[in-house]
Amino acid sequence: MYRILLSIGLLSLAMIAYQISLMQYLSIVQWYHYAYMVISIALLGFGAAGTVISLFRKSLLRHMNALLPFLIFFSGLSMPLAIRVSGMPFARFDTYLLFVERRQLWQLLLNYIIFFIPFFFCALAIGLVFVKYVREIGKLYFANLTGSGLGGLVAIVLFWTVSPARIAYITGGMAVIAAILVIPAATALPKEKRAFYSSPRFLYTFFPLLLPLLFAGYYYPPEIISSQYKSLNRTLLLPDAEICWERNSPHGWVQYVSSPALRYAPGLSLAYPGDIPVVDALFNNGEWYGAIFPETAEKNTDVLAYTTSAIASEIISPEKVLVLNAGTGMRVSHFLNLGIPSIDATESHPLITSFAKRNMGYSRLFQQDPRSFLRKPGKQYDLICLPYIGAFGGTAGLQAMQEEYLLTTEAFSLIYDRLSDHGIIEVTCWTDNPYRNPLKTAASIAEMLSQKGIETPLQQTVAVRSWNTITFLVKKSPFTEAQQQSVRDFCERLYFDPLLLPGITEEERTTYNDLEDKSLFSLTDSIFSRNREAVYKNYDFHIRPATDDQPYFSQFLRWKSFPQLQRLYGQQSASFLELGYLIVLVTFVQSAMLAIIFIVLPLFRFRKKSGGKLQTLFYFSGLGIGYMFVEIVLIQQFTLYLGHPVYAITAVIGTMLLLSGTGSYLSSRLSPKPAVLRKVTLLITVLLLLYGWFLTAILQAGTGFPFFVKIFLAVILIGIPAVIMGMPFPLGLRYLSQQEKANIPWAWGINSCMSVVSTALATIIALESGFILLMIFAALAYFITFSSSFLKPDQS
Amino acid sequence: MKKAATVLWCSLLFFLHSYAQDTYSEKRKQMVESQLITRGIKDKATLNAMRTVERHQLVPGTQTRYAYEDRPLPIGYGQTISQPYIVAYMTETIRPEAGMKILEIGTGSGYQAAILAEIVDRVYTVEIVDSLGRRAQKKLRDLGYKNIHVKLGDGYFGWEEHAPFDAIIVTAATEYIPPPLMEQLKEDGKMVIPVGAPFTAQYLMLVKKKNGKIKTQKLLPVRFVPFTRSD
Repeated sequence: MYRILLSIGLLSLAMIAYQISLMQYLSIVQWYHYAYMVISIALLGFGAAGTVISLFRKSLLRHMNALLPFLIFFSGLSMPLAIRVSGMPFARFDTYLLFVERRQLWQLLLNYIIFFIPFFFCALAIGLVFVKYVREIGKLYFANLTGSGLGGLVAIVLFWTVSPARIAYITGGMAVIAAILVIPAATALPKEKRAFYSSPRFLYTFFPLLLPLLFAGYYYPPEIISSQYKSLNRTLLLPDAEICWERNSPHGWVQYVSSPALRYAPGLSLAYPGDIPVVDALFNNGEWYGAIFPETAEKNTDVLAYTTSAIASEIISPEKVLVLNAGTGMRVSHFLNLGIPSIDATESHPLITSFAKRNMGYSRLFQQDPRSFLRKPGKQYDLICLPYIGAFGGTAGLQAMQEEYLLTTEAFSLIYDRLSDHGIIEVTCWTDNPYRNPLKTAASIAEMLSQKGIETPLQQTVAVRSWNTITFLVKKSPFTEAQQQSVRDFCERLYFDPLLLPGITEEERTTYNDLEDKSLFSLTDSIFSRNREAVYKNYDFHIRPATDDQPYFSQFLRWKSFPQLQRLYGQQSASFLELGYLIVLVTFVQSAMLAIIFIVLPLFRFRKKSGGKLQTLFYFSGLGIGYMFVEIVLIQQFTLYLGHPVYAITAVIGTMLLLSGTGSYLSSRLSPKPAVLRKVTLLITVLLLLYGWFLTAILQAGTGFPFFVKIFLAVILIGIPAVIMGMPFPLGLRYLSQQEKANIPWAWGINSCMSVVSTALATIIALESGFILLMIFAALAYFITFSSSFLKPDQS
Repeated sequence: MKKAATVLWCSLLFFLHSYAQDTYSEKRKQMVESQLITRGIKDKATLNAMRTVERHQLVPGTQTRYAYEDRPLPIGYGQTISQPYIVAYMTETIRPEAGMKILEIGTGSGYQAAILAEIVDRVYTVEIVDSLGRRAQKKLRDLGYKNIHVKLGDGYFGWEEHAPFDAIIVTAATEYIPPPLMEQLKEDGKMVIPVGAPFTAQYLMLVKKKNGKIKTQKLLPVRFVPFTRSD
């Protein structure tokens, strides 16, 4: 038995590590959106396996000993194979072409199926072991959950040590070892009953022989072919471009690229007289992270002095400057050129900081996320700079799902509190069309000032505009007349125009950079007036400021305006205004379709009449929806708390699996009576409502704690609901087995199907309504489960 | 018998080729009528050029049948060929005339260069992506454009030997306008830069150089008018 326990533990470990690494892999080849798709795929695999066990239980159990090593083996083998196959031309899809070429939709669907396979075999193996050795369920659960919990940690270690294309070979190898461990069980049958494939000679030769194959794959991993529209790929097309260095980390896969045609001058003034210096660049998961001076370069060429972002240092002489999310440190380098005595910078990406030091001279670099830094008590600054918002030419809405906790009104408020008496916040955004980024930035500033009780916000806000950027300055005290004149002089010298300035005239706003659509002016003015709410309500894009509850600064889509955008821009081009959100919708539809095909439809084989169908439907739907809603909302909220999505995903998935399993194990001590079901589900409902109201505030308060204290608190905060949430499912199944055994496969199927669908649905609800409401919906789902226990079992 | 079969075969090929040409020519006419004139493109030279240039010859084979549709198309290397309307709008914006010399940064498919070459005397175009530039160069040569000069290299430096230019189109826009390009633009010259994510051109930046000062104007190929709601 100990071999089986070890095998299950190792397989669970490999699977969770694979799942987390798959999220990173898809972030590299595509974009971050697919992290949630991976959770949905994993659930689909587990759901489909449950259905197969329900359908062929007897036959599978009869051949289980022989089948088990093969199932585990196929799961392991298909881990790297899935990645290799998904990169082949027939299967490769490109997010950017999803709304351009119809076949891309099929290729995305094909990817769903390819990545589903390892999860399916893994779940089938674990499910069969659970069913077969039901008496040892306690130990088996322990092995499964310990393995799963460790899987998250192993994923983090692998991210640090192995390149993304190789991780699947390691997790696959672990699964193959798990298969070898159960060979004795397969060969335990009497000789005459054994097929050739379950003979010890065959198994002990065949499986170990394949390990070298995995080793070979590890040493010759597949080339990672990412979207041609990712900035890394476009940069590599430049003459003599080469990747000089690359390394993986939990924060992403970093690549250092150099090319003699690579230059950096974001929003450079047309009055700039000199040559733009050649730089190198760092990319994270294939996306531009920042420019960096080559080691041999002169660092005193200050192109940033010719951009709108230089306005702050033009009108004040700051002594203490803070650069948030400093990236590769180009902004810091600008302040070094100005000779500012005290410069602090934050950057959370550990691999980036090692390079950034090159640009950062004598400045002090804090390797942590900006929210944690701001929460800690510390000095006041004369100037605090945020990173550029948006991207030149737009991001096609691909940032829509990214939690941007530095751009919420709470973050602006924290930054404001760290200013000295006459300090300034500087934030620059790329202009877009239709206007979105500048308006939401203006709204965030106006909202924050309003919350601070500032009655004349325009006395404390200045904005200047170039042909492609707008820089906003927010001062803690009103701008003096001398400072206002400095703004005008700066604009005159560099061909910029003031957008917001006390006493500004309409003509002044377009002296050098005229706009065909002048609504930018009236809208910005309205945002700083008392009519702000009307602008939010009537504008065709979502420009209400982001909050910690809805930290999606780059989510601009309003569904009621989408038909108008399609009419104006054409169906295809309109999609490229808000691609990110539309991808979530596509994955939602596809996951729902596959969940029905693989999980629900096969169960129609059990169509014999039975009572309690309605009760089963409500009870297990509520559990499936509620559990996944909680998991997704916790991942999103703990991203702020732990500072990075990968830590949040690892902590939430690992802790929930481990402690829900413990809850499930503990539930065996409870009697599966309706009264017990009601107590447990009501307790969860109440707990989730409390979490809905208080969790955000608790997490905000805790962001400044040391990392290990945060991890400890995270385990407690995630663990409390997780333990109790692990109970209703096994209790429900035991209750069904007493009342209506025929409904058990349906219960399993409904629960799995709802879990798959809920992953994407939770993301959509969070985008539209925020985390608090999502948590309330989760509580409501558990309340449905609670209510269903009042239905009579014979009600159908 | 053999001769007859050859003649028959050649006639069939000729017939199919002519038929395809007629079909594309008809599609071009429709494109001009329905996508350009109805949206306000008025410049006769631009419209004639759009009627003449065989867009389907300049897109990758897999995209030929979509060549005259009202949308941008992928051409590989993370690049697109702009929607016909955007090409017409950009062309009309610089008001090209015979005798002019135009620089294009970012040859891409070669379509914009071909449209300009139908109107002006000389078009100089620079492409940084080697394989894309070579493909466009070959196609433009095959189509008989002798007044288009393609250079493979970094567009940052423009094409100093042939400067100054009456107009410059920067289809491969970057976050900054390279200072050498500003220097190579004639006094009173115009520079046009389409800005937007791939598959969109959300606005055009028109840069004018006058009396040593530089001014920009943001033009909107597609006019977005926010709803005015009663509530």
